Amino acid sequence: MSNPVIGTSVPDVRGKERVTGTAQYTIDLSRPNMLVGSVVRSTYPRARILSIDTSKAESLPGVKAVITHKDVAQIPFPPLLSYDLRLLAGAADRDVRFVGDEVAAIAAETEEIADMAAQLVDVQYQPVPFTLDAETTTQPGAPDVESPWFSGNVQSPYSPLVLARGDVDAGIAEADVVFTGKYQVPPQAAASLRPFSCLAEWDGDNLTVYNDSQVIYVRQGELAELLGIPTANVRVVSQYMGGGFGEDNLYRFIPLAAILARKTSAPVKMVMPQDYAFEGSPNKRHAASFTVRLGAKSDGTITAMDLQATYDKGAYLAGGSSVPYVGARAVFNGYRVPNMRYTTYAVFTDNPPAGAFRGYGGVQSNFAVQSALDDLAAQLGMDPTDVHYLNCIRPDDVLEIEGEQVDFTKVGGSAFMEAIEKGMGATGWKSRWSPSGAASSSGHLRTGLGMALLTYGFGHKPDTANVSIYVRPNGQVDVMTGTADLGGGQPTTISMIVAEELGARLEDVSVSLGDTNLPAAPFLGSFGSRTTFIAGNAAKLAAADVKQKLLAAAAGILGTTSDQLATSYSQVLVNGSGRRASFSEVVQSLPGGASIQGSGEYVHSGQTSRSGFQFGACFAEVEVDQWTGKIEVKRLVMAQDYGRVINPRAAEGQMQGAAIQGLGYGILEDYVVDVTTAQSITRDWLYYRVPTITDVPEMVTMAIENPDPRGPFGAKGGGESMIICTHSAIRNAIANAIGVRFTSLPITPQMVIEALKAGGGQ
Amino acid sequence: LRVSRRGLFKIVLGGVATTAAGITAFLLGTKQGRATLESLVPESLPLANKAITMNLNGNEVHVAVKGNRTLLKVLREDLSLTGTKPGCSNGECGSCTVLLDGRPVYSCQRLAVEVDGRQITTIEGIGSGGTLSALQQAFIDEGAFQCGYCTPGFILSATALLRSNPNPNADDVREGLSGNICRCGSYPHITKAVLSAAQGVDAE
Repeated sequence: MSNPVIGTSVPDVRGKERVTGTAQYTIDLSRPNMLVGSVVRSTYPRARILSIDTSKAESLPGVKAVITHKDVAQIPFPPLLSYDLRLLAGAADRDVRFVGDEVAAIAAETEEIADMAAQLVDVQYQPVPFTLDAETTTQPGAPDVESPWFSGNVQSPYSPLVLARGDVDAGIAEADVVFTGKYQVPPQAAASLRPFSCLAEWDGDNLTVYNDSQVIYVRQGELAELLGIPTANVRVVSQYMGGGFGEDNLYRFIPLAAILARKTSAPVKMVMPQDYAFEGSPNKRHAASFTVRLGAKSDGTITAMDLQATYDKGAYLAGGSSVPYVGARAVFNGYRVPNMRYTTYAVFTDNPPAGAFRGYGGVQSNFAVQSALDDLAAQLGMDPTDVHYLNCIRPDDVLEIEGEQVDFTKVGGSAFMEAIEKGMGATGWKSRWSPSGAASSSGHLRTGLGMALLTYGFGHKPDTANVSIYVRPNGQVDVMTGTADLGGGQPTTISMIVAEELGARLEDVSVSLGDTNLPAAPFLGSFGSRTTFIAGNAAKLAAADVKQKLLAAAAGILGTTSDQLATSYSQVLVNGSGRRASFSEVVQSLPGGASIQGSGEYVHSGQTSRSGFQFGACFAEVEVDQWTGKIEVKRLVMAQDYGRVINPRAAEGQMQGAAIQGLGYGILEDYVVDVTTAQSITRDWLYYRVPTITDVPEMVTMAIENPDPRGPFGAKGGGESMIICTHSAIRNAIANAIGVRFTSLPITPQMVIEALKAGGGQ
Repeated sequence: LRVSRRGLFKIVLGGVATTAAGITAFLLGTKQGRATLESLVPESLPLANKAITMNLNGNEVHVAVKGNRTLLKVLREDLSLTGTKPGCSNGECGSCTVLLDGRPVYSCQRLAVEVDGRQITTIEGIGSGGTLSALQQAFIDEGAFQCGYCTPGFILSATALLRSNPNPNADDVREGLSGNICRCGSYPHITKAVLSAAQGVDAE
């Protein structure tokens, strides 16, 4: 390639729109004669609805429609998705299931009127017992949910879900040391700043919905089903997405807006209030609890790893069984332990719903395993890096994972050992680490070093991607892909892949995205670190296809054959001669002023051996004040295998951003549900404390490049990686600093002081 | 000493989350919904429109506003300047930051009637005639955003910071931007962008 693009730091192709405020997020859209929607939400965690009186609301001047369960389709539980598709509670067998559950929806002339009308809807509730504790909700006598697909509040038929290899009991029997630990993690709210919103408008029988969405084709299918119209009649548009972080779940306000728009024959915009981000939205991480049993030889070789996990799904089934399943995969992809078993239960409670949030499933299981391995190392009197180095998957391992033989040499090799070496080097581990803290500890300020490995699959689930490329008569290269721009640099990455493969100048390439009228890439959406790998592969294939057609056309005007031609800087060059033609000249030579069009389809199998593996490590240095309990993260050192880095600055940004969210989960973000009311009391950014710029430590990011032969130019997905393990590394560093091995998050100053008072630590 | 504005507010309220949440619930008298400045002023109050004049991005603007309209709503809904982003609408996140007489303020926390006769700068007033300011360019060059939703607020806070302190160090930048949240965690690149803009051209 004579104009290399891959591997150079390219600014975001839509950066100018973002810094000038001209980027239009859904919340910025408006239409003439647009109505504004609001939703009546339950004030009880679980209750039967005795009556709903909408008459006062309907008679308020400016109110155009009020809808209840009678106005929405009563779709039975689909057996595979198994979440309740009945949008509003109120039918005889459709109770409200959490504080904030949707009961009625309103369209009115202004936001003020819509909100006031919501207050005027008179709902009579009959409260029924509720349960918030995932441990007791499965016990006999606990209040049961009503669905035929749930039994004893355990999701069936997928629970328990067991992944295993070898014989765990035999592995425990041959161990010199058996370690058992219990760990738990709280919910984590995505807490994106942009309010959830949508705009729905009808043109005859055709619906267009604008929504900040990562999963526009899923939305499209969902809307078609819920509204009873063909998929072809639904268009979903997501141009700019404010704060993605995972939203592959049912957001009931979106179809409600579409129903209101149909009923009123007017565009309806729905903006959810700020507390929705903390309560009604399933854009949250599930709380989970774990029991970990490890068997080990006295030299640190692990003979058995046995995990039992309970994921608290809250109300409804956002994220389905895939969240605990992915959590299991995030353990099996990490260690070469011969005997492993992971048993997971997905449990329903009346907590606010949880679903997808960056690193879903894996962030939880990582905390359990990485804490347990650190605790085991302490019990064995070993350096934790030695325990990881000894047991992590090696580059040439062949292991059975989920019943398949996975040959790691065919997926780019495991990068764990390299990540550990890089992390140790950059932290000065060998000279600074001791079992009782780092060498710089003094007085009441204790410094600790800790580390954690990360592994995570990317591109879970089978998927396909289609990309079309047009080379226009003016030389412009237009790339059509339905991928979303959620801020990870997706359109820039796609542009770079196309420019590199086609030999085009980057500035000639533009990407159209975020619209179901475009070819779907990836069809399932932009989540699970899949866009670069899946859409990127389709874009590369499409670029190769259009290049071949371009060369065939150029051969005619340059008087040679295609195999004598190459491309560079948007020109076609004849090998060994000075003759050349620009892309523009080649396309203009075609009759009728047509464009040259190419397309690419990439079919992605979600099977373990054929999907992706993320590998990396995070090393944390913390300082703990034993007088005040204050925890300061001083430094995070990260090494992550990107396969091949497409855009170094964007890759660095993803590592930093994910680690900062992980730091929040580790020591700041405390999601609290009041046990008497089942209401979230951390419902804004004052009480739910996400990291600010003053919380950010020094960060060292190191990319490892072990090309994945299946990825575009060897690239892997990696937008989630660092959130998987940062909280675990910080927890282990705190343990190193003060000798207290915390088993839950977030680790707060109060917890530190109480643990030290109780005689924990050194 | 690094204390964020949110940190200070929390200390003032008493620190303990449960207590403070109770105070909020008491103040708002509601369990759910929009906890905004507007919602504290009952819609039923007879609020006449008041004509105000402000210097908005260098232009004199006359607009009739109700007494309970926030500056944020007037900018976005009445004047169609949607570059100013609504976030928490509760003075916590900084995404709606604008400059009031050159100082950064949360526009969700100002009633429009308060800015009568005063000077307002929004993101639309940064840069001139299609040319980006040095700070805007630095944000692009350093990749100082991901989703970009908080970016206008950060650029306004940083513009004010560089006007009052043209040669900040990294700690100055952190303090100056501690009232803005970026959930994507672009903070390290934001710090770099502000420092590089300070070293380059004047950030006007």
